[in-house]
Amino acid sequence: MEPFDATLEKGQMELFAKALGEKNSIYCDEAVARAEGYASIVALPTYLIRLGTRDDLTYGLFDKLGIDLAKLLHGEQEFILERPLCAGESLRGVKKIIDIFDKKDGVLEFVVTEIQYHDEKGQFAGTDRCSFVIRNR
Amino acid sequence: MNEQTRKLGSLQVGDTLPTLQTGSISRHTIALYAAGSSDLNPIHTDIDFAKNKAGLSDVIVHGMFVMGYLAKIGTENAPAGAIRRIKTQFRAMTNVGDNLHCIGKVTDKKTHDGATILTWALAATRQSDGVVVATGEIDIAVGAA
Repeated sequence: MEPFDATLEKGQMELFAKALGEKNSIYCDEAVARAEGYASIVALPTYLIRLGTRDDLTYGLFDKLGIDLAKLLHGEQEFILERPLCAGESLRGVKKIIDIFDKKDGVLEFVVTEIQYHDEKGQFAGTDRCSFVIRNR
Repeated sequence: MNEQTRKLGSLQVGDTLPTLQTGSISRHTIALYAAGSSDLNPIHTDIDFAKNKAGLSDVIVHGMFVMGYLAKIGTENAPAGAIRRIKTQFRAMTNVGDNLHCIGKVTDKKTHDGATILTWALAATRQSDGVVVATGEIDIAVGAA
């Protein structure tokens, strides 16, 4: 799939932290994050999911693969984090389908995708590896 | 070396981290998570879709909300830069009103490139019936150069 650029937006990160009831200030209070030496608030460990959730590459991919959302479940998720990411940074992501297989004679189908993120200096920033399950019954 | 780093360094295989509870998860919390994550999948946001298309009795909680809670075992006990990897397997659905107990336990401790890497096994359990809805692990680097 085509590379995409995504900015870590502070307001979105604050809302994400609020939804998870995060109390640790470096994830939601800019002054505290700066005092701790960060450029701005820090992204929570699972925030990369927000950057990769896109109409074109998420729901568009399901459309292209003919996947019915009503049959779709999230099976497994992994993030590899090279360093803390801060609000204001921009990352470039490249998404690939790395595996498609089925179990129980097609009753369960699995699609595994991976997004590799690099920062503005071209340094590796993190990986999002996701496994979806489609229930064909 | 601050108090948190000292505590992390003293953890041994078999030690447990403080348990976290989500409290009863409301539709409002699901809506907040949908907005925060931009995951507006109707199975989480549209009760008519959940009932009539997906064959469920109600909307379900995002698996990623559960993973986000399991990740809090990392963020509450380790500095941001120490969290290197987190992985979760989703094993059962989390329903509106469920209260999840999230636990972490040290399962491995090894040295790599001058840093100690702790691996904590994670699990989230529905308090109502004891069903484990998600398991996983998180790698925490302590004392990295």
